[in-house]
Amino acid sequence: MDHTPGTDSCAALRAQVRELTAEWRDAGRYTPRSDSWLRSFDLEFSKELAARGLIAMTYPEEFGGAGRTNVERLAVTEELLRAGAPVAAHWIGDRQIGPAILRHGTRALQEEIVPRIASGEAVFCLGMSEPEAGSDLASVRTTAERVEGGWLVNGHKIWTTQAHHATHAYLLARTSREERKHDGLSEFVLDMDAEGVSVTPIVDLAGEHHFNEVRFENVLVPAHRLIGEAGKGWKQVVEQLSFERGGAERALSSYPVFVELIAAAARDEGDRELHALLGSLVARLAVLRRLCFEVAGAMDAGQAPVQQAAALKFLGNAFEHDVIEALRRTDLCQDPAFDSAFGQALLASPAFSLRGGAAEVLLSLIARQEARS
Amino acid sequence: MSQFADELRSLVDDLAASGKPDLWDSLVELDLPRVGIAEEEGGSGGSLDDLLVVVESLAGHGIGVPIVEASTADWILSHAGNLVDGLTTVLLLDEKPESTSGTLIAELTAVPWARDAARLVLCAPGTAPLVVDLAHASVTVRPVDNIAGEPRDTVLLAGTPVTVVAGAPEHAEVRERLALLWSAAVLGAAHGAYRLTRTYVSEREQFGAPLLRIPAVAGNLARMRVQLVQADAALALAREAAPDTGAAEIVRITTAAAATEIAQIAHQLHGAMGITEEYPLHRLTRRLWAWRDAVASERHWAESLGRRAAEAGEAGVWTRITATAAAIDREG
Ligand SMILES: Cc1cc2nc3c(=O)[nH]c(=O)nc-3n(C[C@H](O)[C@H](O)[C@H](O)COP(=O)(O)OP(=O)(O)OC[C@H]3O[C@@H](n4cnc5c(N)ncnc54)[C@H](O)[C@@H]3O)c2cc1C
Repeated sequence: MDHTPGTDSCAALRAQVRELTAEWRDAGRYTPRSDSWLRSFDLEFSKELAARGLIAMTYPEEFGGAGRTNVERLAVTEELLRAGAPVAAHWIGDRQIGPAILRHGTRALQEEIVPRIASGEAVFCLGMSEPEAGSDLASVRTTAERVEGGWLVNGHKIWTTQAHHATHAYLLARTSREERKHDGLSEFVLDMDAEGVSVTPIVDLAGEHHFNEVRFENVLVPAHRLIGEAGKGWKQVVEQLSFERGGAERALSSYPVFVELIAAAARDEGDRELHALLGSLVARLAVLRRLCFEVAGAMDAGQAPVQQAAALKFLGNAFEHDVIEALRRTDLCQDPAFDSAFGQALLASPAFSLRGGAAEVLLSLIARQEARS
Repeated sequence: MSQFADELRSLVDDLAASGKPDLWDSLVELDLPRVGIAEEEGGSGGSLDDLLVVVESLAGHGIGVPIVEASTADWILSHAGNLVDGLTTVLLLDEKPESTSGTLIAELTAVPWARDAARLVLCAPGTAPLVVDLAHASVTVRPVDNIAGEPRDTVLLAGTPVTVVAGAPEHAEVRERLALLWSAAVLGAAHGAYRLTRTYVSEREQFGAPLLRIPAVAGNLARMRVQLVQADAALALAREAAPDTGAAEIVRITTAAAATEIAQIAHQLHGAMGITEEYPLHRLTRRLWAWRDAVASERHWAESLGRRAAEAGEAGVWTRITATAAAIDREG
């Protein structure tokens, strides 16, 4: 029996994405790589997806969305990650900023920003982390002070992925000092070309430039760019993190090397140890895909599954690490080239269990829930 | 989950709480081992899902009764309209046994509950199931216990007559059903071990506060939860999967891994308390250790799934083996 809504439409969406990615790959327009949702930036590709209704899928039609379910969106994101496609240009905006504005933004903000995310025009970066506020996000120091006509922002963000390509930033800032540091936080949308915004690159251990420092010096943000209620940003950002953590990218970042592992096991029929290792990874992947599906279903039911998303991210990140480690049982690890699938994945791997929340922090979030229940 | 399932769960919970020594007799009286067999065939009705609930709930209390074996054996017999009273057990064989004119000479090891059973159903590839009358004069049963203290006896057949069950499910189908039932049993025991542990760390104080206040303790409890989330999802996946898609392997591997980590952490968090005979934790952990490798070991399932994956290639792994309901590719 099939209890799943939209199974047929999911199959059709999958087929559409496969066709598109195969076409682009064959034409040499991209090379599949690990971590493509963070590292492979190609605005043109994102716009093509947008034109086909393959981003902003869950947004209402009046804002340029496709009015589809999160389960259908999952079918598309899974296939894009599977193909290692260049999706970084729209990923953050599509995944969490659009939904956040739709949930909490004013009508004016929705009309201004959401259709531009849907068309691939607005490229977002996430201004959450600061030198003094990583795992402890509530200790952000960047301030937004209420002034005539809006807010005046001063502060310093770090690890901001794709800030150098972004047209817009999501910003978490302190709008008042309260006794509890979780109070007095607010969320904003900023223009990256506004006066007073500066971006400097941070090069990662692979020698690549994806993240940045972003400084704000007396940046004027118009009043209507506040998301939701001033001072109530914490609850909103926690909800938003379930969109950030609960997606397929938490299990499929290293999928291109998993493909190589399958091929290696097929080549070496006699290696029973390798088969057993592959088997246990396949089982984990099946369960992770199931969990992604359950999280998407919960979102369709209007929930923000914070704990489930945290568990998924924790398990998914561990899986990705273990996939890369498993390749060391094959000859692919022999002095791997810098830009080989294994080399790329290994160099990207320390980020898996950090970005979007450190593994230890996810565990303590789950633990708090357990203590309460 | 159906309303029937909820009723079954609370029925089992009540029985378990009553602490009756003859619990199995009560279960049989209530016909619970025959849930999942149609009433026309002598069963109690309900689905395999309902039977999984019974198995999981019993296991959650650390109760060792022949529910998996009896329900599977009866399900096989019901296909031939052969349901009879008394305990029938089941054993899977890797190879077809050699039989001469309807009799068997064999040494069978790890036969579950043989000493208590009246009959044994043998399932081997490439042949219909065979029924052995364990009371026959040619049968010798040597008692052996597994680490959970459950009977896994050696049975010697010396020219013992066997009868064929016609129209019964094939070896592979029986194997998948057993995989699913043992997975539910492991999951139940894992949830039971988790519940005990959570209660313990909330109540036991060290350094002036409940253990749960210590971040490393809370983190370990969270690791147990994460394992349960994973194992629950695997069972949900397997319940919906079509036969022979790898789901049996997936659920066995996932629940076995969960059993391993949960038993380890449960003992760690209980400190010395957990290794006493008096305290109930061992009833769950010893079963987790025994059941995680029941029928076939985790390693065996992993190797078989890995081989299947290597043969299927990436496309097969993606569209068939790891596909969720929503991912199933209708174009094949
Ligand atoms: C590739 C990548 C991309 C990123 N992109 C962005 C982005 O676009 N925007 C953005 O805002 N941020 C981004 N980040 C930042 C990311 O969210 C932070 O790295 C993460 O939240 C951890 O913060 P931190 O690095 O400051 O570590 P810290 O908070 O300094 O912690 C260091 C380590 O200490 C441990 N730890 C800390 N607190 C606890 C605790 N309470 N209990 C147990 N252990 C603890 C953890 O192991 C943790 O990893 C990105 C990071 C990476 C690696």
